[in-house]
Amino acid sequence: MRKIYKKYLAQDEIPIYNYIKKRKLVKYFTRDVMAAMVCVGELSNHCPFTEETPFFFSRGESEYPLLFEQSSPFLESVEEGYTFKQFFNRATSLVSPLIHFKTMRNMGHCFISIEYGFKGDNASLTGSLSGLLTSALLSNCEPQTPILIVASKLNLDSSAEGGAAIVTKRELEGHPLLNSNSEAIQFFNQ
Amino acid sequence: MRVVITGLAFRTPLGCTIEEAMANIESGTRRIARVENIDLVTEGFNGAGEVRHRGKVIKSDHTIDRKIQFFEESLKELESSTSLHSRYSPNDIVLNIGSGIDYIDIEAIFKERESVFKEKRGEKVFFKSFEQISNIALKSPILGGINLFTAACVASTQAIGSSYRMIKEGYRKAAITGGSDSMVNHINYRGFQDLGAMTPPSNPPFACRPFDKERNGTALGEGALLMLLEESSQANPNSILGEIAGYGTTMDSYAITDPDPSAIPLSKAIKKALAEAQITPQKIDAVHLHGTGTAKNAPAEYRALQIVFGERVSTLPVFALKGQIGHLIGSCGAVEMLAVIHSLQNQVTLPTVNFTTPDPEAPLFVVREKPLR
Repeated sequence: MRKIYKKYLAQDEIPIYNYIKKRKLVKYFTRDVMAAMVCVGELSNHCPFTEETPFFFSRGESEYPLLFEQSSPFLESVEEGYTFKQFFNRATSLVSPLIHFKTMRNMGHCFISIEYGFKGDNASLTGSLSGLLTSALLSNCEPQTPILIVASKLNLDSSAEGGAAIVTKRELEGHPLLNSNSEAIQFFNQ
Repeated sequence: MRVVITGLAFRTPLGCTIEEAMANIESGTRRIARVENIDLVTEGFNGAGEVRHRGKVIKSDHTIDRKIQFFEESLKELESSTSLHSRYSPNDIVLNIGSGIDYIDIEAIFKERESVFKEKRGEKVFFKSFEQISNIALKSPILGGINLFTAACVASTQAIGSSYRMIKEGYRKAAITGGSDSMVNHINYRGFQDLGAMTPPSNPPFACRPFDKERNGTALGEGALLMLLEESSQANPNSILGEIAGYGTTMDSYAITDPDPSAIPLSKAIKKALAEAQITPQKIDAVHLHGTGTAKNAPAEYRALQIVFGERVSTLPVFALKGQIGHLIGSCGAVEMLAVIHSLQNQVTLPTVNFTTPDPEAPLFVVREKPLR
């Protein structure tokens, strides 16, 4: 098993452009997806992937909604005769359409798949460590086939974590974290 | 080892009981209508398939995350109807559920923006799906794993497929699986419109037109369906509703929202499922498709069937439910299992509503007007 873990604080620049060929996709990335992409990029230097490499991704629950970040300057305003319709339309017009891609849970899984051309067995999850490891363990591949598992997490303090590992079904059999209800990033940061 | 479905519980636009839902599937009832539970405050399309009981929309307050409400109600109903907990220990039961984007209570932000938002920064208005589902499942108690699948439109199908693998491999004895989702709220509905996949303003019951030449987008729906999967030797033979015989999943790796027009990865998923089930394509009598009503979906599904079934594609009956209930996103695969079970039990392929004009780019055999036996 080869495992890579990265954590970036709010002020840290994530070196995403060193790890991606399809640079136009970066505008859709949240910081945790960037962290995950960096981890997969580093891992790919050691473990050549194929189109059929099984790939499972579990993204952590976001600790703050990105929506609020963009619309907060006006969200707290109080005006007389202010209706919900006015409020809602002003709020949504402040939010970039890109945000919708950022809030969709499976986007990290999609972007890494597009970057590396993964087309094999897969699952995209939120939170669950047990789901990530069990999905890999029960993948329809041979016991020694390399499987890519990835997790990411955006924290309340705007720090971002990413983790990636190449595992085999044999390595996961009986793993103590197979039944864990913790968030998946804990497999990588412990 | 055979994996069988032995219980269902659901909240859908077609109803909340098996009798009501099956009758509505069979009669082609259209449940996409102007949204009643909230005022969408939109100038665009304002329809969706909302969850109904005896034809009436189930209403809930803006402080409720509807997908969690539907999940919790379905879970309680499934547990009581299957006597699950008297037959299995909590550690033997896994929950694999598909769902979608988290719910944000924007009405609360508006009404309480001075107090709630300023002080709590979204804490009270942002509902985390995994946390909510975990809390409910742990109280149940379900201790064999709580797994939330979130691959958008295939989320609940991946949840069901993963459950199938867990039972088949003997990893767990019982799996509660399916999906629950609701995008029929202000933020997610507007977001979906912004993505450009929603039909333009039109008469809601006729807005979503799977496979039709004039299709121009999908309509949203909401709902939940949970099912119990068990190994057949542990199941009461009288409770078996169907069997899951194979599962395959692949990725396009093509674009963020568009399907790969070659449909090669999609066809590989079908081939993998058939191979696992040890069924040849010649044995397949009908296919239930995704059928979103979007421009690019139908040709991709047609091409995939053409690769798998060859010339038979022109005579192989297909069906899609979304014209009746809309696109349930994270729970569509699960809820559409109702129609699959209907087809299996009655040995018919149902007509796809709103299909009138065949598309030369996707010349599928879509059943019209009356069921094909």
